[in-house]
Amino acid sequence: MFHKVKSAIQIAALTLTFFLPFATAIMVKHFSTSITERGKNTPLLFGPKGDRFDLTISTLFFRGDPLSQLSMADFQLLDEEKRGLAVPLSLGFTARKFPVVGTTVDYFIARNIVTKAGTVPLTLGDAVLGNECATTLNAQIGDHILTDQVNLYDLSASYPLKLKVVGILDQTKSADDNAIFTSMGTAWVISGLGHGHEPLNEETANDKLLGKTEKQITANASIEQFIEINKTNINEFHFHSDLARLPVSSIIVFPKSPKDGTILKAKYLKHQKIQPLEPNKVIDELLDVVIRLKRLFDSSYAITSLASVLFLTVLILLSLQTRKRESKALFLMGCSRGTICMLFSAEIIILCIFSTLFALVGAYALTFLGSDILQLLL
Amino acid sequence: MTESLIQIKNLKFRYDKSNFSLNVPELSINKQSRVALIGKSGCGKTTLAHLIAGILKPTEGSILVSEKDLCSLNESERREHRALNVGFIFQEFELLNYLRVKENLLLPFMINRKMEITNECQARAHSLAESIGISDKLNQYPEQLSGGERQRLAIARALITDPAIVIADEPTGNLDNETALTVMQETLKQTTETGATLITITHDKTLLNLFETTINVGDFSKTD
Repeated sequence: MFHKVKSAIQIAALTLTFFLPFATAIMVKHFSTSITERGKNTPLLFGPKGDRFDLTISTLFFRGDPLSQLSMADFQLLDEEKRGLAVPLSLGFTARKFPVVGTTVDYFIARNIVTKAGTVPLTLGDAVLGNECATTLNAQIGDHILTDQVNLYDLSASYPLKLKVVGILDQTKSADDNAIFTSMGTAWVISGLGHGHEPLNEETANDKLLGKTEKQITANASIEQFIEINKTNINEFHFHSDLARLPVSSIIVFPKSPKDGTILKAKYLKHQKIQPLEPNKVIDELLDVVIRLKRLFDSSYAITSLASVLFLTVLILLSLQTRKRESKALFLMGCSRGTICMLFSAEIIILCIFSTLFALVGAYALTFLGSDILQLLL
Repeated sequence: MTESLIQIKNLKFRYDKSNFSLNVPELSINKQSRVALIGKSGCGKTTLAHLIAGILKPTEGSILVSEKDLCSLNESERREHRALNVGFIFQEFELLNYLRVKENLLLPFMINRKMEITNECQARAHSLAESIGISDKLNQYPEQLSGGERQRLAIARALITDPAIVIADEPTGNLDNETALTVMQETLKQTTETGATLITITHDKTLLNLFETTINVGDFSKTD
C-alpha cells in the first residue's frame, strides 16, 4: 500500500510538473493554427480606423464590437471596384450568448460553407446556426431563438427579436461553428434600425396615435411592435433610414487576384475613415505577442520544472537510501549490480513515462474540452 | 564417511585500507552439516561467510566449494555460483513488501538472468509454501503475514533454488530466547529436509547445542 501511495504521489507530482508546459505548448499550437488558418482564409479586410487587432479579431472571430462603423455606402463603393467578392458584416449582437452575424449569402460562398440541413438565411428573420452552436442549443430547423437584450435598463432599446432557424451549417472547425448567421436586414432589425408594427392607417384607433395629418400618421408607444418576423407581418417591417446609411461593422474582400487585392488595398491606404488590413499579417503580429508571452511562461516553467526535478531527485535519492538494504539483499542473492541499477532506474523511468503520458493526455483533453478557453483567449 | 562440501586452505583476506585481516590455514565443512560461526563483533564472521558465498575474493589461498575453486572464478561466475548454490536468510528477512508472497518466494529466479521460472520451480515453490504452511497465502503481500509466517517465507526463499549452502546472517539477532529457538529449529528443519549445509552467524550461545560444528572466527582474525 505504501509503495502504491508513494508511486501515485510521485506520478502526480511529475504529471503536474509536465502538464503545464505541455498544455501551454499544445494550446498555443492549437491557438496559432486555428487563428492563422482563419487569417489565411481572409485575404483582405476593411473596417473603421482604430485598433487593427480589435478589428481583425472581431471580424474573423466575431468577438467584441468595433467602436465605430462603416456604412452600406462604403460597402457599395468597395463592391463597385469589381476587384473581388466583397462581403459586409454586421456584428455586436448575440442570441443565447452566441454571436449573431449579419451578412450576405456571399459569405457562405466565399468561405465555402454549406448547410448540413436547411438553407442559408435568405429572408428577414431567418437564421442559420453554426454546427457547434446548433449542437449546444440543441436547435432544429423550425425552432426559434430569441436575441439577447443589449441593455436591460435601457427602456428605449430595441426589443429582442425571435429568429427562425432555417438552416444548420456543416462543421468548419472555425469560428463559424459557434455563430448564428442572419441577413444584414435582420441584423439591422436586431439593432433597432428597422422594425415592424401593426399597420398604421385610417382604421388605427386614436388612443394609439400621437398625431395624424394627411401625409403622416405618428403612433405612440402603445402600438404593437412585432418581435418575430413571419409571413404575415414581414411586409410591415421597414427601415427609417436610407439603405446606404445603414451600418456595416466591417467588410471582408476576396480579391480576384493578388494584383486586385494590392490595388484595392493601396486605394484605401490613405482613406480618411477606412483602414485596409491583411488579416494574415495582423494575426502574425498578434501571434508574435503570444509567442513572446509563451517564451516568458516557458522560462518560468523551466525554472519551476528544474526545482521540481531537483526535489524529485532528492526524493529518489532518499528512497534509494532507504532501499539500500533491499539492493544489498538482491546483490547477495546473486543479482548483478547492473540489474539492480536497471531495476531501480526502470522504476523511475516507468514513473516518468506514466507522468508524461498523463500530462500529455491531460493537456490534449484540456485543449479538446477547452476550446471555449481558446475562444476566450480571443 | 561424510563428504566435504567446503574446503578452505591457506586463506588470507584483507580489506583495502583496513588493518583487519583474516587468516584461515585450513577449514573443512561437510555436506548437510550445521555450522555456527561465532565470535566477537568485527571478528570477521560475515567476512568469512561472504568469502564462502563468493561475494568476496580472498587475497591469497583457495576456497573449494563442491571441488570448484572460487578464487579462479571472475565476478560474474562467482555471482552465478552464488545464485545457484547459496541461499541467504537475513536478520530482518528482507522480504519485498511490494511483491506478493509467491513472487518473493521466486525472487532468486526473477533477479537472475540465467535462471528461468520453470514449471518445476513453480511446483517447488508450492511444495515449500505447503511445508511452511503458507500455501493459501501465496497471493497476499508479506505485510499481510504474521511474523512467524514472514520468517518461514524468508527461509523458504533461501531454499527455493535448492542450494548446497544456506547462509543465515544472525537470523535470531533481534529475538527473545524462546522465539530465537523456534526460528532456529524451523531453519534447521527446513534445511535438513532439503539437504542443504547451514552456516549460521550467531552471537547467541544458547543455540550452539543445535549445531554440529561451531567455528570461532575470532581465532582466525587479527587487527594490526
